[in-house]
Amino acid sequence: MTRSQITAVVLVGVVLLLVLGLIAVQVGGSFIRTSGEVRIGQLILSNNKILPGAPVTVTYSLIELGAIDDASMVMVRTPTESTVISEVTKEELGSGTFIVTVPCDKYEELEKNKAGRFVLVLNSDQRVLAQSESFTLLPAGPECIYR
Amino acid sequence: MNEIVSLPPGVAIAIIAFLLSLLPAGLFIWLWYLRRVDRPVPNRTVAISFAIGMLLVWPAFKLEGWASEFWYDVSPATAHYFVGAVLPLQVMSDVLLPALGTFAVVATVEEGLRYLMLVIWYRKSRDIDQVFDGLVVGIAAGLGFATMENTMYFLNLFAQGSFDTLVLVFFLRFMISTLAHISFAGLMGVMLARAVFAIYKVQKRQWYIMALLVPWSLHGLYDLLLGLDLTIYAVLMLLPCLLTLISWINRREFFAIARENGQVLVNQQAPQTKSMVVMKKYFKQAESPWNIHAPWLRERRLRYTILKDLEKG
Repeated sequence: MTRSQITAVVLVGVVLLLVLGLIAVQVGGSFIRTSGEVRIGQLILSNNKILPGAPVTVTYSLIELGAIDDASMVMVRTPTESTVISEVTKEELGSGTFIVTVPCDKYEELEKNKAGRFVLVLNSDQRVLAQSESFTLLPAGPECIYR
Repeated sequence: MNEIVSLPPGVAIAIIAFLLSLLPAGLFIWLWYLRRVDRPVPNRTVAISFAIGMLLVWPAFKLEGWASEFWYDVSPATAHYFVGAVLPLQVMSDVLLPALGTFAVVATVEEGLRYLMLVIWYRKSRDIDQVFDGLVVGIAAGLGFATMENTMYFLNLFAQGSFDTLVLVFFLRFMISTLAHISFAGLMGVMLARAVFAIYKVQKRQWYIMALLVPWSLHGLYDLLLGLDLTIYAVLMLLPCLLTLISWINRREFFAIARENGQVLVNQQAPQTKSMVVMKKYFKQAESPWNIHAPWLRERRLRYTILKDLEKG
């Protein structure tokens, strides 16, 4: 192989690797390490643009339901703060989905961060059970304005 | 009429998962080893290294499982940090605790086991007599580990019924984790081979330390970046490692025969290539008294003899 051929092959390899990385960023989930150690679940949102005041359906995966023995709370977590927005019972979790609403009065404090995640936390020891993908917070919707 | 042999679904899926996991391993073994005409180590050695790499997954997973359970017993509220951070990051412990999981547990267990296995093997083996052999054997061990890890990951996703994410995540993870294990194991293989073949104690010690420290820190950082959802940086981090490995494929000093009959040689010399032999012959002739006093003959020799010799080579 000539020097220019080697350079071309290396460049193509680098580009392919970068493309692979970018796809992995879009798809997500590649951090999950091994079969036994998954202790943090995933909350899956129906839409990753959240309107304050409007209910959002959340499904989940990978949560160890056996470990949950009392009510859990859903928090919105941003780079600067975590705000509790609702409580979820074990029965609600057992159904596979639950509904949360970002309250209108929380909009002000969440607004400055624009993006956040839902985090499901166990009441008893503050253990994190699951987190969602990142979502964008939209300006307050009609549910907040005409209430 | 012959009856169709049917396997239990679990076994069939495990076989499919293993065969799929072999795909990237096959590709990289071909790239680094099979396509070479002058294979530096016997096929048997590469196959054994691959198999041992696969076997290392079992103790690694066991140790990581125990570490995870221990963490959970000590501090259930922070146990989730073992698999990654809760995002977005808010306080320093959001980075430090996942770093503890990746550096102190995952990287230490996986790289530590690989290090122990390779140290014992490199010191005893008679087949490994060049630094380049260390690279090939290290990469084969890394590929074996990645193959088994990917198989178990696939089975886990399948058992959970996560079919929606199965294909994309699976194939992405296939490539990325395989490349990561190649990088860490390849670097470790080369550094360990240099340690084993070093003559001076100080050099030996330095290479032994580097052989553990470099892959350990890279592995820890790579896992931490994935845990912090900074996948693109994790992939970018692999680039210099892979480029280094590629540049080492043709590094001449790595082909020097460093050990014979189990003894490390003091004078380690690379085997001569055909073009080198021709050039040596040329310089010997060119510097002869006849050519020094008749330079026009040197020109003729270059044109008519050397080029022909090189072409033959």
